[in-house]
Amino acid sequence: MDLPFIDRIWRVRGSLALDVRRAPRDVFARLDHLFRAVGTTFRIDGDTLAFSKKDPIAQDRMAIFNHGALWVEDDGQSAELRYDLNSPTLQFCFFLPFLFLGIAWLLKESRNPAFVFAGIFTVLYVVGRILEPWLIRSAFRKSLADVEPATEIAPV
Amino acid sequence: MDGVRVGKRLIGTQSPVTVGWENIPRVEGSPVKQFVFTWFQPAVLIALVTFWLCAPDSIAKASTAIGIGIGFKALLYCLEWVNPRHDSWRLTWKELVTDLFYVGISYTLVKYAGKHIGSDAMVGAIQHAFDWEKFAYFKEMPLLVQAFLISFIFDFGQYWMHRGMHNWYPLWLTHSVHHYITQLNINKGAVGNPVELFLIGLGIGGFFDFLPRAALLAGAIGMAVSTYQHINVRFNTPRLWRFLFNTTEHHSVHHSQDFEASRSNYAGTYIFIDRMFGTCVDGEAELLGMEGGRRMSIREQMTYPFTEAWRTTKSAIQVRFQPAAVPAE
Repeated sequence: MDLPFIDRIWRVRGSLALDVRRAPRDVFARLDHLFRAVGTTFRIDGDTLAFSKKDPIAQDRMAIFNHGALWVEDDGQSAELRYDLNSPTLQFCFFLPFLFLGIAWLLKESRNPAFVFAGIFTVLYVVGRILEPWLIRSAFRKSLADVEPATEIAPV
Repeated sequence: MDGVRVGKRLIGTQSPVTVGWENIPRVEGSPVKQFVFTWFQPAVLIALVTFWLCAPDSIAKASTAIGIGIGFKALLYCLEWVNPRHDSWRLTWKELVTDLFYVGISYTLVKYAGKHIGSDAMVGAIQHAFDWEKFAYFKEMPLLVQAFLISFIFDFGQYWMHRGMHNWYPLWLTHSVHHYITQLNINKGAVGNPVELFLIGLGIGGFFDFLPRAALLAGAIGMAVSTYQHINVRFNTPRLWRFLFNTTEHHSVHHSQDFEASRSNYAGTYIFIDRMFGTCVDGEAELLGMEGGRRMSIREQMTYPFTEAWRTTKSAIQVRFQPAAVPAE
């Protein structure tokens, strides 16, 4: 289902300019450690890496995303890594305030705890929607910035 | 893995478990840091006990206890940040969301169920049918003794409920979900199937609500000891403390991926109850969980006791009524 505005609630899209033009296989090799996690499968097809996760453990740095794709766009002058990641956790957190408001309405007594948790999850969603994209972008950037030998592409 | 013999059992044959206090890492850093993380737990306990013993009636009430509880939890978050026991247990945003979801359910739906069909309702019914004058002598005891007895009786019941959960399949079905956590932090005590949260809340502590000050003091003792079960903080836990009280070290052994290790340290507050019944293992573990550390989604955590019960019942019925066919000779 294509929900271009609403899906911003749970989808994280972004791009990262590559300081050095690299072949997609080299870019993905540098990100490989992020996908070597329990419950993660991935497939590289040309310039695109698609991954999916089943019940990622707490220690997985990409645990909030259950599937997504990363691809390298190269216009001949410069290259950038683009990504489109899907997070059911962001979606879950977005709906939690409504759940607790519903509980407050349903129970009709001792409503305060339900209201407090609705507020907590509202704040948590905003924090997560800003923090998690920043963290994943930072993880990508650090992985790609390593000064390991790169198979640079000669300018065409 | 060879494991380590503790009594009649071999601990750590399936997953690493550090057995023995002498093998557990110490707090590293400046003398001030070492001092703080050695004496923090006893200092908080003494401060809370002193407060509830001495505070005037105008502030010694349940709302104050709730405020102290929230402040204490905020402080423990800071300690987890400053001095984690294991980096692999560090709190992430996702873990915080999922953990707080369970905390929220506990404070709303589970509490509601407890009030109407759980311990509050039962306590109310029994109190009406009981002659509490026979227990008047309880009120004559020193306040601290009253509080200790309340918390001890409660924890004794919790010990057997918890041990029962690890030994009787229907109860294990509800408790098993809690054992799928792969790290400890201060909210993990609330993570589990709501049926278990309801069952674990069935206690007899509420019987003593005619002793409000002692009940508050007992609650403070429980908070100042049992909160550390699931904490991710490296302490140099003092020798007497770890002999008497449950610690995060003990509880990490209980959550270990090693089956034998997980069948130990059942008490919530007083680990000497485990020592009395031979189920205590002193040590710690980092690799936690079930099925090699498989993480359960919230959806599965909600349904697992019921789906597993159905699967087991179905296979039992099949075995009973459709025994395996014997090949013809």
